[in-house]
Amino acid sequence: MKPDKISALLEKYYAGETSIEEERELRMALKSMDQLPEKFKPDAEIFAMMDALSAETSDLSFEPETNAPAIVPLVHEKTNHFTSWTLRIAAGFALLIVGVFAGWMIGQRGTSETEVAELRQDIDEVKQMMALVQLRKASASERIMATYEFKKMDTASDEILDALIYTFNNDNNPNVKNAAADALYKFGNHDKVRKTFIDGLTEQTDPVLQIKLIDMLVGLDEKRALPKLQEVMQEETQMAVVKQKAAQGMVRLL
Amino acid sequence: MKKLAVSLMMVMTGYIVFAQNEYKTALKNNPDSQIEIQIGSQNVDIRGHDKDEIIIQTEFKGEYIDDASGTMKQVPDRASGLKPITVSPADNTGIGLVVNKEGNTFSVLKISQNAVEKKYIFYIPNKAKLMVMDINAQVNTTYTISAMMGEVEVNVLNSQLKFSDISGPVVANSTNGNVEIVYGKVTPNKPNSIVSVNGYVDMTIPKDVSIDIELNTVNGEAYTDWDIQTDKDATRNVPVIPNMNMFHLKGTINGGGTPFTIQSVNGDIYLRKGK
Repeated sequence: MKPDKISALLEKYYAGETSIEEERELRMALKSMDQLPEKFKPDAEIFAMMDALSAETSDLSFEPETNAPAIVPLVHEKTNHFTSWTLRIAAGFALLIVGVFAGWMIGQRGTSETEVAELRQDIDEVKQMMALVQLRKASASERIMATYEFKKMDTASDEILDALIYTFNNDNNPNVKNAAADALYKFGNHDKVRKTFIDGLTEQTDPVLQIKLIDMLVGLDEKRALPKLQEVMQEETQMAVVKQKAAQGMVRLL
Repeated sequence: MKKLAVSLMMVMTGYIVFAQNEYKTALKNNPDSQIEIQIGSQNVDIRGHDKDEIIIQTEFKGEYIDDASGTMKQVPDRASGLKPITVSPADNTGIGLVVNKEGNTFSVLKISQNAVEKKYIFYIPNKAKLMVMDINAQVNTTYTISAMMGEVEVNVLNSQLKFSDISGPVVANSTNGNVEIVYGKVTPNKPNSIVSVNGYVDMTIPKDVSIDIELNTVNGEAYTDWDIQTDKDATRNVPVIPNMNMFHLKGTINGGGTPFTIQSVNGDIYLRKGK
């Protein structure tokens, strides 16, 4: 299958609009291409993990075994099977499938508020995982789109915060860094976000971003930013407007 | 047979043709193709076309980059139509540029030191992704980018940016240059982000599109002929602190849709209604 066809099908798939036949074609294409373009590798990993999960669950048998030993309680250590993010994404997709099934069940029989809340939580987790994948894409526009997805969420896991902080610190596109800062501000109650913003005052060189950080730190009433704001004001090569903003910020925080 | 041999050679070399002031190479016209341009020529005109081919034209003829000096040399009349033999890949186009093609990515990496005053016209596949970066902070380039339907990403220091008949998404940043951008249509749901630190941003969007819009400028003003419905929840994500943000607006046009962000520090913002 041609890469542009794969791209189109993936877009359709993530929007939940593919037919079963199209999903089968997509799965085959991601599995069978000898030289899969780099950009499809995260998607191929997701599909591989989903297949693995599906294989595991399909082995479960509900038929009682006549010669089976008596059921005894097993005590074992609780382990976290989902150690890598790809596995978690796969789990997310599995949850999506469960969600769709459960949605159908709701339509059929009705359900309790708790079940609806659990369902919503599952769907939120899937959205978060998809946004994490998008944050690693080569396209700046897609990375910005991912930050918008995070901004819509009410809470963020450590993994999401770390991914956003990494993007804020390391992305090679200043507009993406800016969008990551906007998304992080939503979760400004986390200390690691506040520390990232404070360090960013002197580590980031884009004046648009520096000005935004000053606004945000004032918005968060983060008094620990005062020494760094003073540094910004005293930096000889700093743009006058950034120095001015830093001075205004100090007045606000004092 | 001879024609077949020539055709095979062209396929094996990636269809590279040297002419006196033109360079051509094949590249599929789809979103998986990527074109990266990192040169400091003073005038770069990039035009999208619906072909599986890149054509680069210059206004001068018969010059090439000399390995030893790094400067341009004139090809003598007797060598007309021949490719200069160079020791290192100082000029693999015959038009003062060093290019590289790897898979579906075509890169223009370097320009001869004394070719920077020359004008270069690029005809590139219009559905491909385009990335433009400045490598020479001393040069004030004017990049003209037109008729592109794929994603365009531009990150420059002192250069002026002029986009026309663009579909987006566009992610552009110029530190000291102005940005003028006219959208022919808008690719839905793909964010556009335009930033100029010290220059103005002048954007025209077709009258029938539905977009979310966010405008920020510290020392500048904003002007528009659109009816923007302002977002009452605008302060939820972006802090608007009295006397600290000179101008901040978040809202929707035609009910909202594709996200657009325009930011400047010292420049004005002009948002126009197009055809």
